Amino acid sequence: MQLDPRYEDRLIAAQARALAAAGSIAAAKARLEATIRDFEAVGPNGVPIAALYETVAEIALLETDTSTFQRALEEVKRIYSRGKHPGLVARYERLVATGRRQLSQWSGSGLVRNDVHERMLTVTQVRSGIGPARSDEQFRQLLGIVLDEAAAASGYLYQLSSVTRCGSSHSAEPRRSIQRSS
Amino acid sequence: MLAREVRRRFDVRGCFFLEPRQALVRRLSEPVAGMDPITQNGAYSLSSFYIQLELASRGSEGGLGTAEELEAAPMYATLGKQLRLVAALSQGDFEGTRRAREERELLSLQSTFTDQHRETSVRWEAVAIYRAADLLGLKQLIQAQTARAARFPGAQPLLHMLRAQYLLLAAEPERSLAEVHAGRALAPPLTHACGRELARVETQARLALDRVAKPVRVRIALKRSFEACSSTRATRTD
Repeated sequence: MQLDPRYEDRLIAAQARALAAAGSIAAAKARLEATIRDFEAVGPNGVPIAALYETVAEIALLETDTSTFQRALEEVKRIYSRGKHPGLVARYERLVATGRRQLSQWSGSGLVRNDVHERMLTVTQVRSGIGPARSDEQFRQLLGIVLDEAAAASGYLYQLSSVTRCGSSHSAEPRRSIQRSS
Repeated sequence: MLAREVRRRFDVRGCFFLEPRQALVRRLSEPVAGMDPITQNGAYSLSSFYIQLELASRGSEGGLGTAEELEAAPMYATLGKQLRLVAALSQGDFEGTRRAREERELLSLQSTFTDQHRETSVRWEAVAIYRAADLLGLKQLIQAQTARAARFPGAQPLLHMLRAQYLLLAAEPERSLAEVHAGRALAPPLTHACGRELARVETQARLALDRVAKPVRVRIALKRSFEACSSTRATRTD
């Protein structure tokens, strides 16, 4: 089946995931590489191509290919992090977390060298050190979704580890009893 | 006449209009004998808008010139902001997205001239929002489209598409598939512009559901989805 990569990047990514899930990892990688080449030849440099790299990274994790995973992760980070969009930052963070989990398992089983695992941790630390502004945006976005789902007019969001208020839908302080119970 | 010729050659629903539109804009950028300047300018502005909307949703950064042209004309200024919104979303630019959305809402209160095109372009906006994993943005689109679908039954497949996207992002693939099927029941393949996106969401929902299933089930599910969405030549939208 031939799909036009200019229009069907998401379908191709889904196709590659399915091929990989079915055990045809080489075919999945070939399909993605060809699509990324086509995309880069045309020149767009946005979220669609980063999503293809995200799929490359996920598939690389399936076959313990740490170097491909690192390379793809860098591309994902470059595009997903630059505009500070909370949804994209969350997707990048999820990929990093999956990679860390996988790499921890591989380190334990001796499949990868420890320095690869350390590099992976460093990537996460760099991301975390970007600054509090992004966290605020993410917490605001998260609080908005919670309030929206609960049909509530206002609310507060607490980070339990440090008992600090991360977000508020309005300027008033919560009741003391709520503050203590947090 | 030019538009009729294009329509005659591509008189099929769900066809990609990018290349024909680009040819049309090239012709319209020069004076056309027998066409009055107002009609020509309108056709040029709207065709440019849809070309750049398609390119912006693929991550192209080249559409800002068109956005400026549209914003310079009060009648089309809302579409200029809509183009900026999709471009910002496709670049992952959070601040640009927020600004464009705010400015578009303000402008849409001033003029309703291009409301129909703004509503048509929701399909591109939804894909860009979905790519950016913006649950709140999708929720807002669903609220707006629910009211519209209640008045215009033709908008219901789009509403199902938006709900399917939202539920998939919210990690509810089962419910997402139900919305896909509801959308498909109203708009079978090759009859509605949402067909391609419904097929994509269906593929991803099936993948999410079959993640731990036997590979053969994944293959069968995928084969069905692909057959449904690419049963014709690749340039069709569904």
